[in-house]
Amino acid sequence: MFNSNSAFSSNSGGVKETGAGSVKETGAGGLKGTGADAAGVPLAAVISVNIQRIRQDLGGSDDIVIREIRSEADGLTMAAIAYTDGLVDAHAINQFVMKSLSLNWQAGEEPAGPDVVPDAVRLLESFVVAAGAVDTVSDYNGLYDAMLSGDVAVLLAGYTFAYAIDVKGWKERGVTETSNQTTIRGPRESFSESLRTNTSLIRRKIKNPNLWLETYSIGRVTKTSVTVMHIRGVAKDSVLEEVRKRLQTIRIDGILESGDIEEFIQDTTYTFFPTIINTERPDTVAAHLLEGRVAILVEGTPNVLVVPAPFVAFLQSPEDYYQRADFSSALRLLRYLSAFISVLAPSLYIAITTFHQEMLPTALLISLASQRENVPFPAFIEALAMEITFEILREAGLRMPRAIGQAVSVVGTLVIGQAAVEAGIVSAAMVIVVSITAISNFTFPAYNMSITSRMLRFLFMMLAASFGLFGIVLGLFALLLHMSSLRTFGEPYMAPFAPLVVGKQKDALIRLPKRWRLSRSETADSSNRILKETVPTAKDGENGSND
Amino acid sequence: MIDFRAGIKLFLVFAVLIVLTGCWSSRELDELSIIVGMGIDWEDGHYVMTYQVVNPGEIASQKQASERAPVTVYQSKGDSIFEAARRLTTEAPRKAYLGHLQLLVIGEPLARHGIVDLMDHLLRDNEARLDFNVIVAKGQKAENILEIYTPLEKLPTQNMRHSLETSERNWSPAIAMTMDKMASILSVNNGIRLVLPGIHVVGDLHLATKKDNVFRYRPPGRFQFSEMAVFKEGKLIGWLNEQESRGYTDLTDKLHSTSVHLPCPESGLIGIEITGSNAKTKALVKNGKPAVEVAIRAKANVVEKIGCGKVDVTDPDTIDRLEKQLEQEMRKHAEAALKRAKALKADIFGFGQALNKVNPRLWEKLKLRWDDDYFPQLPVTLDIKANILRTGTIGNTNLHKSEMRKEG
Repeated sequence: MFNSNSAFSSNSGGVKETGAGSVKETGAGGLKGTGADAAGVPLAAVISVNIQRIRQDLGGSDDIVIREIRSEADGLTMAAIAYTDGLVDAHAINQFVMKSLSLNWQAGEEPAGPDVVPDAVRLLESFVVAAGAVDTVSDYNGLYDAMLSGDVAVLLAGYTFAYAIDVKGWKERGVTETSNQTTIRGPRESFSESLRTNTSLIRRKIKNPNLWLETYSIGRVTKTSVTVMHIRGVAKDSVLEEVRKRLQTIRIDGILESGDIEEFIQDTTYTFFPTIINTERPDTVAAHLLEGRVAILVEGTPNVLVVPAPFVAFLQSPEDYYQRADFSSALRLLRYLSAFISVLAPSLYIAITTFHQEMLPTALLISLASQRENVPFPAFIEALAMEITFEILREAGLRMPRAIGQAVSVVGTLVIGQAAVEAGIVSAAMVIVVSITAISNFTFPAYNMSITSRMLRFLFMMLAASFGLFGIVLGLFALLLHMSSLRTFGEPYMAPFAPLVVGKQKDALIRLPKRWRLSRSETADSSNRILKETVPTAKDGENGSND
Repeated sequence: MIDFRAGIKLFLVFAVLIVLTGCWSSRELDELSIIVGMGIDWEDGHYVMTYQVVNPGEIASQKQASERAPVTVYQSKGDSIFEAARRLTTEAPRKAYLGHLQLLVIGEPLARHGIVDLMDHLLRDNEARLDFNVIVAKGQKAENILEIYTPLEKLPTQNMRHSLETSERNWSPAIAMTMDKMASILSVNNGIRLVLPGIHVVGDLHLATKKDNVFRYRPPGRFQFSEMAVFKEGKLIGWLNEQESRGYTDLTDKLHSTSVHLPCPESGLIGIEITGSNAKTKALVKNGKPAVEVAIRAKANVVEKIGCGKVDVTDPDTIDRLEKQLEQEMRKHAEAALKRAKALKADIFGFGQALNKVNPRLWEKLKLRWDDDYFPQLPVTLDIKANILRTGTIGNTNLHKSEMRKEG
């Protein structure tokens, strides 16, 4: 289906073949050789042939730098280095690779033939080891993978392999403060676009040999590194296996953001509910890992995925665990309340004012009736218009250049808040309802869950307009059934409510003090339910020690 | 793909469901005539319905209210209540909505004619909630009561209802009766008789219906709740005066708080606030004859001392004496109420019900002639205990000290 005929196809290869290097070898066979037509072409022993082929395959792109090193004696090319300008640290190349290469070459014995290979290899490895990891690659695909991800390739005359030396160095955004998932108390740092930085941020929080990483290269064209992190002995094996399996089934040209991965690996496509957490906070990921969940980090995006993601996780803020338990519990209940408001407020208003006026106190009814006196539309149309206006304002606020944000908010406030009411097009009560709905929507700690509530809100408004409270109750039933039927990586979405796990209520609707909640989340491996001072070693985990 | 198609089909089914059913019972707020007060009169064999409809714009808007009245009164005549209500649409622009009815006023002529028939519709209709208050316009037509301009609250019925509820809590000769309670009393054939609060117009009725009424410091026409209407078999048969009303609330445990005054030995009086009272009715059968014991326990405070300087309220003996006096006062009220009820041959206290609880078999025999024969002969023992707990923030005031010294 995705059989590509593009010029890139010749470069597409398998897993990054690295051994001692920065990224652990996966051994995940399914990811290897996805559509590889030039996969097996070995390097030639003659450097000029190799150079020509590289130039040709990469289309003579001028960010590909190839330097030849000629022998002083005969002027023949003895070696060449090839790298991608901008992905490598130029200083490191000059200091460690070029300098030592030419110096040593001249000083040492000349590699005369295949019989001296061991010496040459030893020599090379000894002088470039300071530069970082060294790998050998023996075919073009491996060579391109290395070059295009920031290694410098060293080709030697007479040898059919090349060294890939890790001298990565490019401009990247540093670790900055969280911008979307902010807290009053707690770490400020957030993930950046660099995968390695991101894994290091987590490593720094969990200094334990059982924190394991597996890296896959996904995307036939982009070859994006995707790292799966888990704590061995804590994460449930079935979940981990499921993650591996689902990652391997991804067939796509490009992965640019974790959202690309999320869509492929989520359990149910046709649902409004997110079944995968995404976060930009290292502390959140660390907490989830400690609870036995699995994190998926994608190169090039600060949004890290965490699975499995039960519903309650979307209403938990990292701050819940940093603030006092009583306060956190109250806030969490407040968040559930505002979740209800966010979904149901406009529909309840519609239902009650058009079907069930007897539910209102008389004074309120008269007040609402007086506001509606000259409103030309039914309450449903009024609510719909206001909600859509608000959604437009919100979308505009997200997309427009930051400099004109002020103008939009002024216009929005004036149009919605004042002019519409004064002109008698909408009632003031409706503005209040829409406003409280909108504000409640912002209390979701997870943005993707707030999108869900926005979608549901419109459905419920339609139900309320057609059937009144009866419709809302029906809708809630259907919603409850739907949510209970959802799975997130094989785990029930509504746990610990459905199925009811009494022990897990300690950290669901409310959060009890930490000393009361010893057992790990239900997602944790059952052999290992009690939090210990240290995470058990791999052996402990297998032995199923508890307490 | 199959999933997707099934999804589309399901969606279409639901879409059709929504479109076909529509919003058949929906009513926008601005399509309703919110009726807050309803008056029913009896004229030449027809019901005359009077509806008090809110003008929402006049009540709740922050804008400068215009010169329009806060409510509009519509009137129509019909053989049935429902017919009269529907005939209303010929003059009112919106459909009548009974869900927020606050007050049902029954004209005295209709009350004497009988109210059972008109209750049927109000109970049968699913729109009206049954928590509205029912009152009887004493010596008036109901329509007159609904046309009074009231101060403080713009909605006259709201004003009346709040006044009714406040006086019920703070003034013993007042009760409030809601439709549901009334229906449950009327649905019992015997054993308890209905009592409804009465309302009457004080001052000039003609001026009370003019807007000018509320532009005066002292409105020339006002309403007042006083006296209670006693019903027997759904017909008004007589009224209880203030003292009898006090006795009625004491005996039926409807007393929350009220004011009583006791005469001092020589001159002057002591004001007592009853802060709580609890009445328990117990029916007995003695020698095959029914008897009733009512135990009343009241708590009270001394709140006023007028012109009786010699009484030392800090003295426990005085308090004992005052308690005795208060008990006698309450007994006087209760006996007055009993006497009146017996004279009317209407068991408004529910003694028959109490008997039914302890001896249903005897009750079965007596119930048909209870009101007429047995209730008037019923021996009622009153056991009244009053307890004065506090004398307020001062003991004996300094204001009278000089006098006391002179006299003492």
